[in-house]
Amino acid sequence: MSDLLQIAFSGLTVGAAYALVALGFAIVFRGTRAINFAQGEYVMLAGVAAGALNEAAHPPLLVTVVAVILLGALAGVLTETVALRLIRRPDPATVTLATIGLAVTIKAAVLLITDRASYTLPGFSGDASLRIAGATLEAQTLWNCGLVAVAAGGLALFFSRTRIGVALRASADDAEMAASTGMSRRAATAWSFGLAGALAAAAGAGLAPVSPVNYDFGTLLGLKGFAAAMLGGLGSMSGAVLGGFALGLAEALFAGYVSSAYADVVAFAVLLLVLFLRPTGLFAQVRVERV
Amino acid sequence: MSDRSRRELLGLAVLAAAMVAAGLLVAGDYEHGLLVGFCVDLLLLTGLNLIVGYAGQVSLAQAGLFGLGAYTAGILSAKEVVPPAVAFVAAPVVVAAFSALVGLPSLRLRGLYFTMATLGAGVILYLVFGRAVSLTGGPNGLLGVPVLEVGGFEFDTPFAVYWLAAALALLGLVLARNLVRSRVGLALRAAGTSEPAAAVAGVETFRLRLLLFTLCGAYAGVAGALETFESGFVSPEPFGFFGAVTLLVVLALAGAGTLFGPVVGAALMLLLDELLADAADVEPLILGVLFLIAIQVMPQGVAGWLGERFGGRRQRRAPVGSERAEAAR
Amino acid sequence: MSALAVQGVTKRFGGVEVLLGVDLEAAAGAVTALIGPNGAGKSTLANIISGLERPTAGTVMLDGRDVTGVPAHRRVALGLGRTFQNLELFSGLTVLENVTVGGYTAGKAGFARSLFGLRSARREQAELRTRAEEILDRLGVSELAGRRVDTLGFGEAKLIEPARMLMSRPHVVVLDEPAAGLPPGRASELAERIAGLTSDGMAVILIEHNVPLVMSVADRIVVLEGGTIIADGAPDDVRTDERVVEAYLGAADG
Repeated sequence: MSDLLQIAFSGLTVGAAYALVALGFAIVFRGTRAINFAQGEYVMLAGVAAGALNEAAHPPLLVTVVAVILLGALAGVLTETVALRLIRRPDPATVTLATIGLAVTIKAAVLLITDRASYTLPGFSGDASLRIAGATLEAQTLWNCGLVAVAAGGLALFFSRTRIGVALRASADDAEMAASTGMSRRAATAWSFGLAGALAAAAGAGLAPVSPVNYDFGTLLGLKGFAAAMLGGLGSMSGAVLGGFALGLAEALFAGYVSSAYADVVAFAVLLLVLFLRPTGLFAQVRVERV
Repeated sequence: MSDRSRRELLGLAVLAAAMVAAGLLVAGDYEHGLLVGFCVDLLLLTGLNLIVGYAGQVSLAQAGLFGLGAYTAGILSAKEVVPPAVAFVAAPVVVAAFSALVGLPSLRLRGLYFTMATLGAGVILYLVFGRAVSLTGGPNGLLGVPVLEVGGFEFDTPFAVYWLAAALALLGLVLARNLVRSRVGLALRAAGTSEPAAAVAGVETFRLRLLLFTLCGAYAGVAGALETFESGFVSPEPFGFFGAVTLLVVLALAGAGTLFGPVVGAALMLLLDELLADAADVEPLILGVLFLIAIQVMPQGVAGWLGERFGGRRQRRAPVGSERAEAAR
Repeated sequence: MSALAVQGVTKRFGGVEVLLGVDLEAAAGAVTALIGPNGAGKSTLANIISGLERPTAGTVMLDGRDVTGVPAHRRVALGLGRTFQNLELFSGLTVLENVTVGGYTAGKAGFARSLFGLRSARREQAELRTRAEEILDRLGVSELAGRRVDTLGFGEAKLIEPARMLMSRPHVVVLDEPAAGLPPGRASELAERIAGLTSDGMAVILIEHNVPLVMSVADRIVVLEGGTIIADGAPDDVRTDERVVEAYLGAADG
């Protein structure tokens, strides 16, 4: 029993990260109908920045985390400016390809700057952990789940209560309405990517205490976060969160009971299953056209 | 024979001559290895170009399929399951079969979702390559691939492998050209732009795309086998997500949907590899930046852009023609 | 036996009934017009007839043969053709290439023969090209052959789909709003062309908004409203039918 619980706890840790990344995918997809392949690299960027900042200046942890989240938001907004602004016809496919180019660029840039160095953060509550029914629950896991809760709740409020959020949501759902909301496509795109960047940064800051972050850290994570978003239904916020935790759990279970070496494959097997069997995911938001 | 057709054949002849000349003039095992690399990249890009450039379906599986071909040839020959020559032939067969299997459910998905499925398949292959240690040697790679031998002749130097590689790469280009110019090729290109219109024109889009995707896999399989027998080992590194992305980026830069785009692309890869041999870490940065610029500036890539500059006489006549047509009304 | 018969076709879509129990018959050598207000379900019916959509219930019979389960691309070889309301052209390809694709079903060279560039495949493709050139010539637009379809003006572009459709030598065709966007002078030219098709024995199903055009060329008019047929008969009968006048003709700019 304690084994299962331990597995569940480790599933929560990665699940939280997947959930945050998946939320980012969901927001960008809703806002632009494109897949942001740079999402994983934002996470990496944030983790590296947090670790580097901590090493260099030792600011209070809260400051580091907030700074990095702002940095993530900035990175997202810059994406729109740098990678997407000049595209003549910003259809989803082109935007997606552009984010691929951006992902390659960001990763390469970080590689050159950090030269494969690894970075960590101290746990938000130090090394604190709880013993529950024979299993160890790291405090950081709770922090990360908390980040997800705050993010999900914050986004829900943002999209329903703030003027910008409502406009963003409206313009995403209906292109015709977009004009009447007064929000330009560029603004909507910038906001979507900015939010996604902030979410990814939160994930990065939350993961740095758990495992060392280096230039290579983000790619697989980003792709798995995407799988989680697909599982929950691309475009669905609640789906992203549930998909993230579900995937984290599934991965942990597989690692614990079947094979830890192949645990990484789970996410992609899930992705294929979702695409082939139920492309709309568990919480259908958009219809996926079949040929 | 049309102008364009003549120019294409001329181009192919020039390419063949250049490849022969390169083989004869260049000396050194390392240099010959680079030339083989060019042929391998050319095969990969030609296959990818068919599905991406002509049929309009973006595939992120090509690097993984390349790896599947490489490992198939490597494992079968290194473990002495079959003679190397059989392993060589088995590689494209296995990859083609795998592609068909993946293509069956994937090609029913539209556009971006098809791409996601190929991404999943490619990454799964890559992960398995690195983790099936007893079979593939894991992250350290598979060693001990024997020399390719056909009918007593041993391809024991990169120089020897090069001639085989060059022949296969050129053949690959010729076959691709045949397909593109054919009724089937035209139908695939058309279906890539409007599926309903293709359907009501009688085109069995799904079946054709499946065949094309399978063929694309075969190209990757041959490329993999060549790579394995040239170097004597297989390592999983080039077969992951970034490998797949690199192929796409290079194809986009060089000109997807053109006959010589893959050639320009393979040359580009060769150039980058060599220029940046000591600064390998810079290569992805350059590619990424180039890609970002290219997407925004040159949607049809270098070869397509050149094609319009130097061969697009028809295009330039078009505006005049339309005025004439309007006047005739 | 009519060339095309739609029997009891119902199409339900996410809880909404787009078509309900639709019956329609199109005789060879005649123009059967399908009119109705926007949103009546005309395009859905066109899609069901051509095979791009499956009906929730009902059958589509082509020459007395049940083709309800036959995918769109296979209906072409059985003699069905169709044009689209919103131009569905193969962008990036030339006019000649666009039209040539229409002859796809006439070719027999498969994937392998095409790949190896066998002479039979090449000859076939050349023949299809020639046929396409002939059709463009007949329509009086052979000078457009080398132009990319993206560069065409609206009037020119409108001719491409019919040309493409004719390549497969269909004997039942569905024309989806061919007059849309045409200036009045061109509409009568279109009517002539449509009449010309029927003299070759073709069954023409004409979906249209342009009531004068329909009245001048149709042998039979079917009125679709809210997913059901509310009138079906000779033009004069339909024109005076109360329900039709109330629902459609009165409101339409006749």
